[in-house]
Formats: sequence, C-alpha cells, structure tokens
Amino acid sequence: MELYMTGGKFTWSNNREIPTLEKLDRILVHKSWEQLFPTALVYKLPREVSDHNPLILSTQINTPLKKLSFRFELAWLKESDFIPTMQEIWEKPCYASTPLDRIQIKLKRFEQHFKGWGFNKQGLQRKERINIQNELLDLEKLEEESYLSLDQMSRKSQLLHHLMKSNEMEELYWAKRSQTKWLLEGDSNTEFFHRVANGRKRRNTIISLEAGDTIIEGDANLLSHATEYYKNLFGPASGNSFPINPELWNSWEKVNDNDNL
Amino acid sequence: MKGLIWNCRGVRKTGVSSYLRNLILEHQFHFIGLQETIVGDITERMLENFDPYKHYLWKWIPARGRSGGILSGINTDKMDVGSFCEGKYMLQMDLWDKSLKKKWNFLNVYGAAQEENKDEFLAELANFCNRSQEPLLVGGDFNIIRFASEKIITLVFINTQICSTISFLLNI
Repeated sequence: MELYMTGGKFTWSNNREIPTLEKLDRILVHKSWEQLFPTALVYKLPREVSDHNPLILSTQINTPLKKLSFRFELAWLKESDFIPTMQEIWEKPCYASTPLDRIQIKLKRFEQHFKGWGFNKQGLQRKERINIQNELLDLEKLEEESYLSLDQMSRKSQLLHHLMKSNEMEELYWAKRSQTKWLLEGDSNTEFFHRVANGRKRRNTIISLEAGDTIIEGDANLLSHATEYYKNLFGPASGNSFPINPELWNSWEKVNDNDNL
Repeated sequence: MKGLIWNCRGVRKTGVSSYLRNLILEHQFHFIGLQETIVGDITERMLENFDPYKHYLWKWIPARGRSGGILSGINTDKMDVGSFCEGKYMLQMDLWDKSLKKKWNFLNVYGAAQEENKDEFLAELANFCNRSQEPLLVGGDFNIIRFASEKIITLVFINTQICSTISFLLNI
C-alpha cells in the first residue's frame, strides 16, 4: 500500500514556464510494516536544490526540544553589532570591591545578554528560512491547481535564489571554520577529538578515594561513601537535636488548611 | 521515527550537502534514501559534509555514467543493520529497530527513466518484495505514474485559454 502524502499531489516539476508536474516519488509499505508504525505519515518539503520534493516520513508529530546551553559562537564576531554591544556591556560601571568580583560580574552580564542574543540570531535565521519554505510550498500548491502568474514565478525564483545563497554562505562558513585545526578536528568528530574528550573524561573520573587509612574503590562504594560524607557534613548531628516547642506559635500564627490551598 | 526520501539530482551539486546536513540535524532521521546521486563512488569526505559525527551507516549503488546512483543511510544509534542486498535499481537493508525491538527492511529504489527498461525495473522490484521476509518499506523515485491524476500538463489550460480568447473574440 502507498502511504498517503499530505500537502500536495506532485513531487516533481520540470520547472518550465508552463510546468509539467508529476508524482514520481513515493513511499510504499507492506501491511505488516504499517502495523509496526501505525501513525506513519508522509509530507513534502519545498523543492529547493533539486527539482524533486524531499519526502519526509514521520511517526510522531512533534519532537521534544533539546535543552540549550550557553556557548560562545565564533560566528558572532562576524555580526556587525556584536563588538559595539559587547563593549557597551563590558564598560557598564560595576561597583564590586575586588577585581575578581568585578570580572565575574562582567562575565555574568555578558552571558546573560548574549545567551538571548545568540538564540535570537539563530532563531531569526531559522524563522526566515521557515517563512521562505512555507511561501514556496504555497506557490507549489498554486502551481498544482492552476498556473503561476509572472509575478508569482519571479517571486518563486527570487525565493529559491535566496535559499541557495544561504546554503552557499553556510558552506563557506564551514569551510572557513575548518581552517582552524581544533575546530576542524573537533567538528568532524575525529580520533583527535575523541582523544581530547576521553582525556577530559579520564581526568574527571574518580577511581578511588582514601578515607583515613582505608582505600575505597568501586562505583557503589564510592557513591555510598560520598553520600555518607555529605550527610555528616550538612545533615543533623547526632545528640545535637533541638526540638521546637509546639507552643512557640499562637494558633493564629500557624498555617491553616485554607492557606495551604 | 523519521525518514527521508529524496531525489537530490547530484550529491555534489552546490548547496546539496549543507541542505542535507541541516535536514539531518533538524529531523534526526532514522533512515535516509537518496536517489540520483550521479556519482560513481561516495568518498568519506563527501559523507562528512552532511554527516560529520558519523551517526549513519552508508551504503550505495554507483551511478551508471551520468545517471542514477542510490545512497542509503541508517542511523546506527537507533537501528542496527543486518544484511543488505544490491540490485540494479534498488538497495535493500535489513534493519533492527532498537527501541521497538523489531526487524524491518528498507528498500531504496530509483526506477528506470527510459520506457524500455521499466519492465526490468518492475520485475526486480517484484522480486525484492517477494523475497523480503520482514515488514517492508519501499521508498524512492519510481519514475512511474500510477494514475492519470498524478500528472499535470498544462496544455489543457492553454487550450481553454485559447478557447476563451476565441469565444471572447466571437462575442465582440
């Protein structure tokens, strides 16, 4: 059986002024496959770098978002407003007593501002891309139903040109970026990068601890020792318990059931 | 689970690898089937352009001259690849879905474009389908239209326009 494709009927265009549209690409499944993935559906992406639409098969509607963390991105240096903004933040007066506190506060401010800024930048680019792709899909749909006016056609080629350009820019960016050895090796996840990462992991790993004269080994023992240690450090000391007199607060000072709601 | 089926018209064309890398990054496909790679051999370097972290196991059928070529990729974090089987027009991979703990087969096809080879393609397709023991998914560019509704040639439109122009002229 053929999996139904949403979002249009055709998957290929000869890109002529008066286009021939065809459905050449498809996904067929055996019944037993459909039983494995009963929610599978197919949709298409706009034709950008090929005259065929990419088909995407998906069994879930939304994917969970990844947790984001702050990383300085080298590409920010290329943004024209980065240096001025950064300067402004860095030079804001700061009244901490020691130089160490001052630099910490400044760094904190930098992070706070540029975390949001970086996401916005990324978000804007992505949003723009999504907007263009949606407009392309709309145009493709119109093309399926009737034909495109000259305006619409030039708009379409303009959008395609824009996307192609951003693809090319990106390729350039990656090529440039890869000129730095660390980034090249790091990004392509090579042996070099693995070695560095493994080294860091090894440094972070606790294999054994010395407690007085005894040596503690093994993950389970280490864990229970550490838990015990911190329990003693922060937990209640034995024989040192001060109970609170239940009469300490008047009845109207206490939290009642209504307050708890 | 997600998969991509795409006739990319040449994996080495400008823009294709970054486009593909972004798609993979965004969707984290379980499986990928590309057609018309138009390259004989796929090099490590080409794969690194869109799969820098080597999440995928790639298998391919080289293009014959300037036409065809199939490239299939399986995300090995999500699925194991058992065996694979090459044909003239298709490439089958037998998969083990790690989360479902089920076997299924993925067949990536690029159908013959020339009319005279279509029977040969269909015969091979039937052969692969019959042989497959596990649930099967077939995806690709079949180069075949199943129904008249799957093709638009806007000639009809031109005719109606001519007709309406004529009827307009007649009405003056």
